[in-house]
Amino acid sequence: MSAAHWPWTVLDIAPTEDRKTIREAYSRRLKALDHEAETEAYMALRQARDAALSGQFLHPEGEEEDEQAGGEVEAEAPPPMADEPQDKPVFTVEYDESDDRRFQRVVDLFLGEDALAAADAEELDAHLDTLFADERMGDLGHYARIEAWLAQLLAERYPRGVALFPRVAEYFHWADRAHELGVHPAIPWLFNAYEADSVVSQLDAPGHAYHREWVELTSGKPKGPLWVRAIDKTRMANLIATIRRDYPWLEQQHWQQDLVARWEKKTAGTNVKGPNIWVWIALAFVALSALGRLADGDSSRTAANPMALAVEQSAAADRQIAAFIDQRFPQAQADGRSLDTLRAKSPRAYSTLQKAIGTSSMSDEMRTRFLMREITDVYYQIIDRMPYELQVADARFRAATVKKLKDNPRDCARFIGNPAAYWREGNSAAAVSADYQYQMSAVFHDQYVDREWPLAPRTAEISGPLIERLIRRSGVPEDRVRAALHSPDVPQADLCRTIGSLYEILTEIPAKEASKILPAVL
Amino acid sequence: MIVGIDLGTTNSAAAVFENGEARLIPNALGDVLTPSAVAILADGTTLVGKPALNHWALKPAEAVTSFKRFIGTNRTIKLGRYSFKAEDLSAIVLRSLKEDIEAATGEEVTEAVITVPAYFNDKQRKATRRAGELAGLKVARLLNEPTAAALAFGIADKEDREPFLVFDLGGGTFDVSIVEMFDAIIEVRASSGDNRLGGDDFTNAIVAHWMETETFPSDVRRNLLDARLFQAADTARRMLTDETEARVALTLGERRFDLSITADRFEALAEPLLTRLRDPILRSLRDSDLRIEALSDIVLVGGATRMPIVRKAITKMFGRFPNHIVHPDHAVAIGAAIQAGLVARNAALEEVRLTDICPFTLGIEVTEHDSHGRLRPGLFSPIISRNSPTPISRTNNYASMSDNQSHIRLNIYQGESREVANNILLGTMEFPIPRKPAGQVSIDCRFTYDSSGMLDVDVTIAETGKTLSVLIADDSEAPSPEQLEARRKQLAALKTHPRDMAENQYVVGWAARLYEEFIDDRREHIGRMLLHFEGVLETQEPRAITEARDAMTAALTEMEQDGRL
Repeated sequence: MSAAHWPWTVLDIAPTEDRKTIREAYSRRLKALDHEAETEAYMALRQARDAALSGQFLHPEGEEEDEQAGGEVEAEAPPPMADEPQDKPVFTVEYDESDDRRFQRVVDLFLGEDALAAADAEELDAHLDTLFADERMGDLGHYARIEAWLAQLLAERYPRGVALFPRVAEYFHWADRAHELGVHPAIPWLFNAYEADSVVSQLDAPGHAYHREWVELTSGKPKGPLWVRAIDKTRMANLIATIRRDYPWLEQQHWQQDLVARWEKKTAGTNVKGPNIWVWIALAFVALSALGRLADGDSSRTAANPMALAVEQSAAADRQIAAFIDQRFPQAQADGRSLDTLRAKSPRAYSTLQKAIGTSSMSDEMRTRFLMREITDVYYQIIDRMPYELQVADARFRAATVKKLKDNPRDCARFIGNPAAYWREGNSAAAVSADYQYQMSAVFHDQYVDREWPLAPRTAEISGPLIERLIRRSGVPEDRVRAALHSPDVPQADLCRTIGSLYEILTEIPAKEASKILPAVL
Repeated sequence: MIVGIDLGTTNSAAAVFENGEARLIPNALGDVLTPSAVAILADGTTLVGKPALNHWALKPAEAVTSFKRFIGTNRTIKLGRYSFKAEDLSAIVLRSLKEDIEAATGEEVTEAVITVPAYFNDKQRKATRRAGELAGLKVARLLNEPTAAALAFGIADKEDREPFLVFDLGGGTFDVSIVEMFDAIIEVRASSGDNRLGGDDFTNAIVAHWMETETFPSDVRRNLLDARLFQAADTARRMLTDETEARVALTLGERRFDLSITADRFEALAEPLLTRLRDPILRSLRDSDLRIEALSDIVLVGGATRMPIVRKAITKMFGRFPNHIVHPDHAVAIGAAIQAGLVARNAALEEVRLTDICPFTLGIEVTEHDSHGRLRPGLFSPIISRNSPTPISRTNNYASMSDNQSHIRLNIYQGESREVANNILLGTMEFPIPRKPAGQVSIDCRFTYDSSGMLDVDVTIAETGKTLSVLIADDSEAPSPEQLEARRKQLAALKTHPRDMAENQYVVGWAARLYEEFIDDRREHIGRMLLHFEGVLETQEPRAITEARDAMTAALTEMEQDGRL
């Protein structure tokens, strides 16, 4: 036997696997001290006992490196499949052959590399029906086993069974416990994966603040020299750092290693900070003007020197920018967010806008559309950063609106017809701060304007669980909920109930999320 | 002498440890259970227990029950002309129990072990402690109810036991503990619970059902109707313990209302409540790393576990019948008395040790960068995780968030959610830090949680080596100097720096000095301020103390300047 080492020195016994010996030693030591007063000694003793009972410290450190390394690799992988203990467990419920067949069938359906076929998904759904309706779910052991088994199947085979996730999560109330410390490891993992998926789809959408950086890392250098220069090192460093910290597996799945390495080298030493919204608009604009040239089919032309143009057109551009700001934010002047403040606070953003106005390679329509979108995004950034009081005002307002919409179908119809106008009327009575009014009217105004523009299908951004909840809350069938969100050709009552339920849901979720979902739906 | 008291939602009981065993003490009416009800008559007479319960049915405005549900909140309960907080009412019940024991034993009762639901949060525990002190009892220990029941169960034969589960469903709270016993060491491995679920909720389910099926006259006063309905429904619920159908009648004025409810119907009504039992059990099993089949016993405690529907649910959940060795209503008081014996180092308990855990996670609020690089405030950073053995002391390191940050405000929370908004705020401390670039000022935050549920937080700024500390637990009734000294010593063994109360003492000393300098109106004014400030100091609420201190400093400065002129 090797020389005495921790934890055995604390327990004052030779290394052993015998639990009884360890516990007796613990008992002897515990009774020798006043554990309520000698805290440090007690903590050390507990630690030593637990380590001894774990059976991992039979040999001095160093002799068991292999074992430890093995353990660490496992910890990083998604949770493994349900591992039944070697000795046959005694269950309090009985399982027969039909159960075994069902469990096996579910596992079989989860195996396979490609996305789940519609028929298979239906069959899995039917199996879930049977499992959830089972009387034996009353037995805690059975319930916990089914929960752990499904969680691990979903995690292990992710994203194959992801269609089932919302349903399973609801049945076992995972949403309430996803962030609880110490729940079954597969549950928070699944929620993270689900969240990461939505992060990827957001990053893939051209409107996202980090879209350009994301594209740079996933598919390499896009065409056009300005585009490349438009990537900001701080933001790139930021993106790399956050993805690595929060969703490390996305790096493996989506990024190209050489590109990441190059950017890492470039951004070394850059402080990771929050984005500067004006820099972002500016950069976005430069990028889009480059695209605009490509779209015009005028790629043979050399890039004009924007600085030369800017001098001549400065005054005219100023008027255009000011007019644009006025149009976009009717209350901007009162709020001190005029052209002057922009110029004073962010000269760089101002000059980029100047250049943008002066660029002749962009059609008027395209320019307007682009500016509208950019400033709208700025707006969402501001909403995201709403101070606490505004978030409270926001929540209150949403709650009040829900109540009104539910109580009064006529209100609902008017709201759907023109949210901005509805909001202005309804809000005149409510005591909310000027800043909040300003921000909200911008949001609604934006939706109103956006209506004219062709966009990707809007429901694409509404997550599965949300639709589920909408259906459940409103009691309207699924296809009509979807239709209600898309077209005016559904019964007014359905539209009302759907929107009402949506608002109800929106009151429950943080304002930050709400501001993203709201424009997607209305 | 030290006694054990079970301060329950519905019933309370007291016990003493004598001649090597715990003995329950009957009250003046000869019952060992005293209903936790208080009534104040118009002439100021106080009634406790059954008489109060009777009075409640007649004049609900002058009596109250189930007030334990509101302990630790600021809610005031009006009884006739008087208004109380829940802790005052608890103190009245405790005083009555104290008198019962003194009458039965002829000895003076000075100290008590009072039980609290394991899942009671810090505020509720503080309030319970205050209640004991208000009743003239020094609270030797607050003991978790399921732990007390486990003590009673374990001491019965002192045999070694594999992990067993204590299922404690009382009038207002639900607790689960996993306990194991080896060589007279009773070790609580995990606790969980729901402090808003109890027998009263089952009664309320019947009340809600009744109100749906029957139209009650609107001219009856609301609280009278509530009280009568609740009592009738509670009777029906108790009848369903032995019978398959319950019939009760309620007479309001001229009208008579009948309720007939079958056991099956009741089970359907209680279904949502029964499913809420599940999560705490699973959580405690998960925390103690046990399979449900590995449990050696299920011990039922609390009056509400007598309901057949609850027993049925338990049998179904665990696939076996629960244990009946301990009396569900008495076990907690007996366990409290045993703990009192342990505190008093009774010779019969020499070999017995009880180790408990901290049932919830304690930590502070932090801000992080989210996936968009923006600041994400309001996140919870745990320091002591739940089910850590107590007493315990842990340290974590944190860094400043912004460039040139001048202060750090430390919000101390209890709870299990990643977002502090869902957790319970226990206290706040704000202190200056050296101005540096973001992340370059680091602080060590140390949490010390002792077996009485006292949380002590201190912070060391690495840059300056300065240590600040806040004693979180409340001690309105100051312990005697010797005990205080003993406690100080205990804590000093863990901490390297003393509490920093110098600023408060300074302000008090300053005021006292000015009090001597001035006369008449000004002197009286200072006296009033001092009295107020001392009151605030006793609450031990850091934010209130800081506010009061700042206000007082401003006032004193002004007075001093005026005096010079």
